Amino acid sequence: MKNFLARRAQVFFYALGQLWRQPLSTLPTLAVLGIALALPAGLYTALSNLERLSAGWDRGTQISLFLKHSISEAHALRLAQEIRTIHDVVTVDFISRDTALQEFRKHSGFGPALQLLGSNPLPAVLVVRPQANASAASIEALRKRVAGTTGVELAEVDNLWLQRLALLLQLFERVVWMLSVLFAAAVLLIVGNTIRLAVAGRRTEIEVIELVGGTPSFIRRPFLYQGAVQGTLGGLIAWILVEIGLALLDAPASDLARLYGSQHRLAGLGYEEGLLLILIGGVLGWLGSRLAVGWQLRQTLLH
Amino acid sequence: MIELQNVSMRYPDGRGNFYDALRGVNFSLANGEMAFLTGHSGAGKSTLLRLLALIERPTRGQIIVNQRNLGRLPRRQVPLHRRDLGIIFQDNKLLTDRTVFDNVALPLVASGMDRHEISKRVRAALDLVGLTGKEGLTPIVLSGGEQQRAGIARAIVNRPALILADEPTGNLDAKLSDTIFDLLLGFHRHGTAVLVASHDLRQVERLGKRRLILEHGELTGDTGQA
Repeated sequence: MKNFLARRAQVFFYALGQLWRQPLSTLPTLAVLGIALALPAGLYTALSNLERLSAGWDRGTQISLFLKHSISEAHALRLAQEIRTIHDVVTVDFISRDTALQEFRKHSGFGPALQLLGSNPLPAVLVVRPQANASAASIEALRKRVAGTTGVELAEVDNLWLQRLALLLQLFERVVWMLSVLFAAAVLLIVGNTIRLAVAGRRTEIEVIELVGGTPSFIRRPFLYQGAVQGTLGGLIAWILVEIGLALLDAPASDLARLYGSQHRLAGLGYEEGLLLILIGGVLGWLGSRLAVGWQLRQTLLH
Repeated sequence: MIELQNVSMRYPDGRGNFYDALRGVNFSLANGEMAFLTGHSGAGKSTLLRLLALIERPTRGQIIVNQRNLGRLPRRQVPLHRRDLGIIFQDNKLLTDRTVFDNVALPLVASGMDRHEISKRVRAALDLVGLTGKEGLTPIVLSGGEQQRAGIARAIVNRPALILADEPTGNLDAKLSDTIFDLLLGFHRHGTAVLVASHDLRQVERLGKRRLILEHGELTGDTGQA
């Protein structure tokens, strides 16, 4: 076992040495791998930040029914009771005209101006909350249904923008996955091509090893290690690039968030995700070299 | 050790026809025997050695080496067959980016031997060919004769039962050729079978060993065991 591990360690350091001895071809390859992995990782980080930012917002859509001024409070409460019986409705809250006025005074900053008005201009409101998992279509159908109720002046779906945001985030997430697959394929091709050239450049060495009894797996091993090392280093570079990008964007993003009353700060990949990125890089590098070496050695191997 | 029965090797000539590199060759080589393969360029000497090293398989016929039928040997066993051979090339095929020690150690590393044993065997092989003290050098700083001796050390380090040599002195002067052939003779005397493809009739006559004569792919002469 000790001999087995020692041999592999020797091949690993030999593969590392091969990369070290050719900095002019190694460094650009690592940079390209780093960028190819940094792009999906950066988009994933942006998506995580957006999801974290929007997670604090109430995603429960509600329908506000603005009642006619002529409707009495007793009538409004009966109407609320009637709407509660609808299957898709979870709760109906009544906000009287006086309560609405008090809240408006409190939050709008127009309190003194309202005192100049002779009467309360605000209508009574019924706040209808549909089921949390209700689709946009069923909410719209519910809105139309309650809008036709006697005494309702206007029915509006609130938080629709949040639903749109959620859908946009879903779309963005899919784009991130698609780009990740494309960039993973790019990493495979970059490593594959590098290893293919390395195999072609060491054709004589491969022939000699074969003639002295080296097995195909013995011949493949240094190339596989080389691919895995390239991918791993590419993953590390990608992590560093993402963190540098975040550090550059953090201050302006925080300033923007503060304008909207949020204390949100950009979050990086974290240790687990960063290590996962390095691991993904290593696996892609190994896989790319496995494919290239398998194909190339079929052309090179003697018999 | 080696037995060839009606062995033929045919290549496409690129114009829709075929070129016969070997035609119905029959011979055998006993354990520990030494023989020369002679003939003009293109007679089939190198092709025969390529078939014995399983770089190619014959178009027809049967080759048995060390009780292995090479025509039926599965691919995964080809490396095992080659570990039983010591192959010496005219251009020695040393890896110039590795030291003499690493070049000679290559067959042992490929067979998975432990480092201590590798070190012992490599030093013994270098001692046999007179290269003690040169193990840390790269082949590029060695003379032609030393390079060929390093190639021979690599061929014998695995203690093979059969050495195949393809024009081992093709690039060397007469004095160095004598040294190389004396080395091969020494291995033969220690019980290793040696098959040498050579143009050098002076050496063939000097050593007085069995001679197999190839002409246009056919075995036209065999002086028998010396």
